[in-house]
Amino acid sequence: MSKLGQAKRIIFLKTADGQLFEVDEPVAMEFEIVKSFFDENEDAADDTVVPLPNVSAEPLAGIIEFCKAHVEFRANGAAGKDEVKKFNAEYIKEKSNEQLKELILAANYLNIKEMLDFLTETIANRLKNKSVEYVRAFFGIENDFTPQEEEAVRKEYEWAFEGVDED
Amino acid sequence: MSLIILTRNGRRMKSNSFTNMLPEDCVSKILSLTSPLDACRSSLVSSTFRSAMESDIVWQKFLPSHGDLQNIISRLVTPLRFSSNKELFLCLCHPVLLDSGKLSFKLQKSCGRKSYVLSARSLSIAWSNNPMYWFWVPSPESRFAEVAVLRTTDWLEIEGKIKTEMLSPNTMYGAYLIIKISNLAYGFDSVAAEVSVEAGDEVSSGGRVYLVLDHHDHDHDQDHKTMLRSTPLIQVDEDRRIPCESENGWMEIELGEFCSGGDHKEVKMSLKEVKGYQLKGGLIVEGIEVRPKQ
Repeated sequence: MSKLGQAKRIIFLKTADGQLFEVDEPVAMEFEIVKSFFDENEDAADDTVVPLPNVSAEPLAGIIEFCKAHVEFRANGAAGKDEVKKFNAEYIKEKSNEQLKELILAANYLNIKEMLDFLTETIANRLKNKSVEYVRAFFGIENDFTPQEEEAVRKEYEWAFEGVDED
Repeated sequence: MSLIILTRNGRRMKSNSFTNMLPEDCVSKILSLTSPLDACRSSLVSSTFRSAMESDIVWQKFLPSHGDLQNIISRLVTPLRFSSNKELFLCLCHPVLLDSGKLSFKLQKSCGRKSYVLSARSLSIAWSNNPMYWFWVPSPESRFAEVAVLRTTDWLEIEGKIKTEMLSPNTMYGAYLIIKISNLAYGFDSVAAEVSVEAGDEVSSGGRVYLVLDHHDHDHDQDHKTMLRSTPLIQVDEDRRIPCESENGWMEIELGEFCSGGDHKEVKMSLKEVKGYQLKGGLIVEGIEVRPKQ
């Protein structure tokens, strides 16, 4: 934790693909996983590099952009205002399904509540009224049911498989 | 520089195997923000999705809020048996009786929104306590213990009331009178009945309806089929409506529509024919249904 009177502290994060990120402390502390590490290791050296073996550089850059903006919104008392909604809408507009998936995996691993809530809602909206095949493709998941199991599930929820949107 | 490997809760982790899939609780949270329909469909995606879909977190979101749900459960005529939120939701997708059988309640399976049927006994029907005009009979075709049969009257007035806080918020609802018209019915073809729905102080909608049957239909030799046919005898004018058949053999007449909004107000739904002064009879009233419009 930064001590009083000190210049603002930088946290070093290293991604799975070997990139080193220098992140302002308040932004890095949005990541629950990083925060709890420093909470538990108060004497950790200032140049400690926290490796993030489940996160690659691209989603991490996106996450830092999001958290940085939200830390500023809170500091300016803009939390919950239209400005935030506008930023969130802009932020997500350019993201592909693949990028969204990478972001939520990373945000989940880093345990960033605010961002996780936002991504969860965004993904839920993108999955509404979509076919089973679309959802599988979205998450890159294989069908792991046996034909018998699949038949049983299909029968149980027969009413739910009609009238979905085109993929 | 020192290196530390972290797990989600900040503890050191031995293996750094990267799972490319979201944990089940995360999937559950996503599904809880879709709809019951989407959630059920997603059970076919994979075994993880299937078990994420079963989670109480998901179905808690689709059920009415906790206090509301407890209130509904406490008013049930027959207690329900369920072991999970999903089971409870699916139980409530079939109509259940509340308030000593005077009210029927269900959730819409696809979206979880609430709908009700107010029994004839819970409506205000003018002169319905006088057996000269109306009588009450049990009906095996009704979800309620008894229905109201109009013997004869010159003053037909039926009104039901519901409070918007009983409904799902910010939802467009339709109100429908559920009736049968006997093939011996009379007095309905000359004057249209007025229907209206008032939500709070505003009249949300109104119109006119002819309570008539097509007596000229001989294609169906079964009497009850003929009885349920409902085509107009006279040319329809613009705002003229006629009953249409609902799924369980009763006919429904749309009384109007309203938005449940976010505040508390009382909605009055009515049908009346008090201008013709002619005698009319042969109407059987089951109740008024209030359900979300698609």
